[in-house]
Amino acid sequence: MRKRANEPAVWFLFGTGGFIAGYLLPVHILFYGILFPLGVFTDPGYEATRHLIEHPLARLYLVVLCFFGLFHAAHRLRLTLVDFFRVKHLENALGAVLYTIAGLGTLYAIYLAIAV
Amino acid sequence: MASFPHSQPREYRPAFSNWWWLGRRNYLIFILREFSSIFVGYFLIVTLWQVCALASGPDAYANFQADMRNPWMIVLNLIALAFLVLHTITWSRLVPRAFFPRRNGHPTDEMTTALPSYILWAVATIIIAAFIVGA
Repeated sequence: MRKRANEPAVWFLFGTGGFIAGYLLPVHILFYGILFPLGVFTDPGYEATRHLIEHPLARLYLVVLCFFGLFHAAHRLRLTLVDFFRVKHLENALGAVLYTIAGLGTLYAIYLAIAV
Repeated sequence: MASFPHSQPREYRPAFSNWWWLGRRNYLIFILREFSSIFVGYFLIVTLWQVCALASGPDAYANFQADMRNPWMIVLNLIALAFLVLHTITWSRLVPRAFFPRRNGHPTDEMTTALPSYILWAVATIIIAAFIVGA
């Protein structure tokens, strides 16, 4: 049972990240990745977008989105790669690499939220 | 006593194809659903890239916008959006039901738990779209 001691924390991150990424990311992709580049909607441009991200709630939003979203993606990708490539023996190593990337991404998001 | 070196019991390992996920439609949807995590990670990195460009100044942000107008990026983003929508639909159908598996002694109907999640998704999308477009 000691081995499972961190499982609730991991599942909390994974579950919450699944909802946060699911509710918030599609609209980001839709506008910044598709509709603005295609010119369907007018891109508000640098000044207005920078003004938006400078709001304290937008900075917090960025950190929450990246923290939960990246840990969700890392956890799910670890399990998926193990199932897909049948590499159970690499599960811990994959976890170490993916969670480290998620942690570094979160630190970068915190840095940007402060610096922007 | 006679020994039979070739008749030792061995662990039974059923044959398992590397293409198991193509065997049934449900398996394929399962593996596509799980690989949606790649696109979650991908667009979070794009978002960090965007904020980094915003922090760096107007020229950097213009470069970011130009990169996003690359047709290959638009195709990649269309694929990412399809995977994200698959993620949100399957997550909404699966996870709330895990929290509320039974209601009044009966298994919970899938739409009873998924519908509030779809409504939340729609509300979140409208609010964020309003901020993004009206920024």
